[in-house]
Amino acid sequence: MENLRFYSKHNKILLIVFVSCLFIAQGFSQNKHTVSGYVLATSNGEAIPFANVGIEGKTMGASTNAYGYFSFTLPEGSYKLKVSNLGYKNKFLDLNLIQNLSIEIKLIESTQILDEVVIKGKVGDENLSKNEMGTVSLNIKDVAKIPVFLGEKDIFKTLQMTPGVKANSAGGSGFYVRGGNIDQNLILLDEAPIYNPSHLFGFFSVFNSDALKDIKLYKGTAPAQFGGRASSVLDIKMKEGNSQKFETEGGIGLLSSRLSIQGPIKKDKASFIISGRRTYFDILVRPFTQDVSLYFYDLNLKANYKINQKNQVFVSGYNGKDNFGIEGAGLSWGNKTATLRWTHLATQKLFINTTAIFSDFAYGIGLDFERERFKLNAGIKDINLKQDFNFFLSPSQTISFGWNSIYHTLTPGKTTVLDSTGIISSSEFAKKKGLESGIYFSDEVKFNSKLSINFGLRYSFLNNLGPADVYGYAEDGKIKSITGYSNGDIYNTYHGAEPRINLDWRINKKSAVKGAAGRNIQYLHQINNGTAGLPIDVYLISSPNIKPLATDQVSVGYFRNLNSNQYEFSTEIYYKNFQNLPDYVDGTQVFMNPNIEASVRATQGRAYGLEMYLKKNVGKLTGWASYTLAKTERKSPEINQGGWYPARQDRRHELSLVGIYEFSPNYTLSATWVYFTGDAVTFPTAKFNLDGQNFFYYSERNGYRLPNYHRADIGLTRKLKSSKKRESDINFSIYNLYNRRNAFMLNVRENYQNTGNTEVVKTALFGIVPSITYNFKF
Amino acid sequence: MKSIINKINILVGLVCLSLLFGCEDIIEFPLKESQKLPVIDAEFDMYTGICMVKVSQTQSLLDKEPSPVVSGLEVSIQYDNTKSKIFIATEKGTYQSEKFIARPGKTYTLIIKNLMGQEYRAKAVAPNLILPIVKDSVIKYTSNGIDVAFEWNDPQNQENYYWPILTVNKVPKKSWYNITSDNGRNGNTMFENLQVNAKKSDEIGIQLQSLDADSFRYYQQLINLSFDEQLPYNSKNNFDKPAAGVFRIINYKPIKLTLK
Repeated sequence: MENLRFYSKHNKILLIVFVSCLFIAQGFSQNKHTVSGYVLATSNGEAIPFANVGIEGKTMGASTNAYGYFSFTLPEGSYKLKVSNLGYKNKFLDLNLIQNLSIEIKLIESTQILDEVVIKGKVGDENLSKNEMGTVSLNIKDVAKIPVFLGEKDIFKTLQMTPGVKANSAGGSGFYVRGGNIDQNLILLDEAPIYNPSHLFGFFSVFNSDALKDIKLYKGTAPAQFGGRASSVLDIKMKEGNSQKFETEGGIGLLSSRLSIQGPIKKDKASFIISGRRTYFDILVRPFTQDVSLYFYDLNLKANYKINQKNQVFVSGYNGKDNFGIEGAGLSWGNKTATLRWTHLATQKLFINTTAIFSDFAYGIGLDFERERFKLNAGIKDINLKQDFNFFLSPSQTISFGWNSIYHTLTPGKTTVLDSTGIISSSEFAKKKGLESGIYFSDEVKFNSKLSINFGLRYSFLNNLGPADVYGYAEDGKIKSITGYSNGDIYNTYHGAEPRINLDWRINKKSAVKGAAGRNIQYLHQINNGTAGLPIDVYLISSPNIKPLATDQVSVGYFRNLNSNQYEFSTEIYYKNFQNLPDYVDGTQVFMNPNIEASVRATQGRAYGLEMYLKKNVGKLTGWASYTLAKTERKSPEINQGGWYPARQDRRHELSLVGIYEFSPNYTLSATWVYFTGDAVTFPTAKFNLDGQNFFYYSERNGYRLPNYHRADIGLTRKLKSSKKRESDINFSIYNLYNRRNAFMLNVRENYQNTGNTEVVKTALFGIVPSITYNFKF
Repeated sequence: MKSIINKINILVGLVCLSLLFGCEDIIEFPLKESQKLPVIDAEFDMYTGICMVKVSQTQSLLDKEPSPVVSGLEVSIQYDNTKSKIFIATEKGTYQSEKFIARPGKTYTLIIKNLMGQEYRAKAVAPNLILPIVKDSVIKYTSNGIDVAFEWNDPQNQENYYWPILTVNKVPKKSWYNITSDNGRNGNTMFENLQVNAKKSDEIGIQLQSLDADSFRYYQQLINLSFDEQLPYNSKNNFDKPAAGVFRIINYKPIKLTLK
């Protein structure tokens, strides 16, 4: 058993702060009544998460939780309740609080209001008042307005234009957050982890934006309820389904189409949404060739039923798959998830969310040769149970606590070979099983109108479970010992504390200073197979041979709103330290290697940077500018003489500009421009001849840089004839407007014609790519 | 299983090619240079009983001349703790041992002295002899030449590495992409299907070369690198100091095919 120690001194400080806060809370306890309820959208009856519910003219107030519920207790009296959220019109309610009150508050979406009202109306200052930093909240309507690639709206492409988030490759869907690797992002769709969020070799994400309601990325210190990944949490919530009326929306594009249907099963009681999309590249090329198959599809489903005022159940699921085949060789991959959630109000102040989650990512390779057929299946499966409790202690204090337990099953590879004699041989590398659990507690306290603290502690555990043959390895990687364990045996345990704290100091009405610090522990690792975009990565779980990865991050930020909150500006600096970063020894056979753990080394990493963000929230012209200055390094005794070297994702400067101009009610023009300096890459420094063939010799990891990248995209959306019941638009987008041939990769190779001549070859993926999409809603 | 992994690599390569087709430009790029290193291509052929060592140096990336060979070296091979054979230089940069019999399972140490002022050593274990089984029915003539399928029985409970090669008029037609191992098929019948450009009148033969583990890994890594350059590295060889190349021991018995 090994414990990941955290400084016990810090834990004591946290305990003292917690006890002090409880005493503060006790101070408000006479002639009080509780007002609680849900904040919902008028148009579809969906709950609005993280909306602000406050008392006009006072600092009292709260946010709705992730499920749209709020609760706070006030002294008896009359109040003016103000409810606000980005993208919705502020709502004011007069309250005469003489008894406990349970209410539903419905907000009108700002798009339903005339533009002039939006321009003149007050805009909220949630970015200052909320005690959180290092977060990105995406408005799904903004995602839809940004120019699209091949007709597909993509939340990842939008996220990549925010500070601290880097695309893993030009045009790719994966992303790096503040120097972390791709597998250090916890991507949740309705609380179910998505292990591979990419379609079509990474050019699209698996998320169909028509089915999504809320998207929030935590780049720094995520709430204590989240755990298991070292760098970020991307929390995506699906729409619940319109509980007021039936609605159909969709789009028809050049390469794909999508359709969503939602509506009430029983008005205000139960609703559903079903949403799907599919590409049809394979159908388009079928008249020309039967040998190529390339498509993806995905399907989102969700339904909910309000049993009574205190109980509601939700069921949601996702199924997506990619298929690529060419001349007897095929590759397919896909995610499946299912979430069953029950929300229960134990009291007006205690909200309980109980969830059962299933997630399955699998990929398969099939090869059909003349004398041999081969099939490989691999993947990862999770069954997760969790309970989250939100206790709304007072208007200035909310306590959250809970637990979760995930049963991981990793399938490294199961192969079936059918040889020419008709003999089928099949082999399976041993599955790895682990139980990852966590308990947490967090407390959000507003001390006064200026200072608030949100601190929490998560304690996580990993139990490696049998059946397993556990190998001990010598330094040279040879097997030293094998110990067998039976089904259900716990053969190894790791555990560790993950404290976190956020501070918000409101300097004045226009500005705030925030700070955050926290530790994350990650037990599940993805060993990247090298080739970008391909979903054939190997998953490993921490074991006696692989220590858990731990990151510590500190960040400080200054937030300022300008011109009556119409503009928001923020700048954050961060430092992040990585311990036990798993990396494999050069040349390791990652695939189907039963002894892969022998080749995994614990390395170190560090990342630091400055992020700046300026956003214009309202008006005819909206958009943002984001800039990141960052450095990300790794260190391993076996690489570059044991010194610090740039990580692959080390990108010094990154600038994104996004503009959306609604120049008439029927026309919206949008444009984006991205610029970043080149990624770190490894190139040869010499060549040699062996047996008549030339090869390269490498002396430095990531010693070169790709050329700088820049690209502009533009989109024009024209609303077509619309009525109260029907609306439609046509979107015309151009990706890579000035046809810049950005380097996707550089290769050093020998000239085919003149062997002995070395040349550097730039591969550019996409030139100018126009697309057109017809969108409809009725 | 290795051949299957090679085929998976081919699939991965196809995917990349299909994505990147037609988007390449040759560009000016400032490449760095490193210090010169020795390149040692050493092969001990257990069938002929001769060990041949070719020594050259790495070159600058923009160098268009042939690799510079290294002469004046002292080369020997040690085995059974005390025994050794001294090599003689047959031409500039090429050194050859006298004929001697090697035994499977024994370790042989190649020693090269005065190479860039240092002594280089590499150890390799002599592999077992495995004979291929060829059936007449699986020899086919195609428009491109001859297609030969054969199989062999992999010995159980030990790791084996193979390099199946066809010979045309006794000249080996080598392709490193055909190296394979019994990983996942240990103790089973293994098979290979090779094509060679040849006429009916040519003499066709098979060499099922058994390889030692280190040289198999070296070539395997070179092959993987040629498919995926996302994270390039140097193939790990069996020399005790930085060098390119490998010391390999091969064991085989040539089989002459009778074509009808």
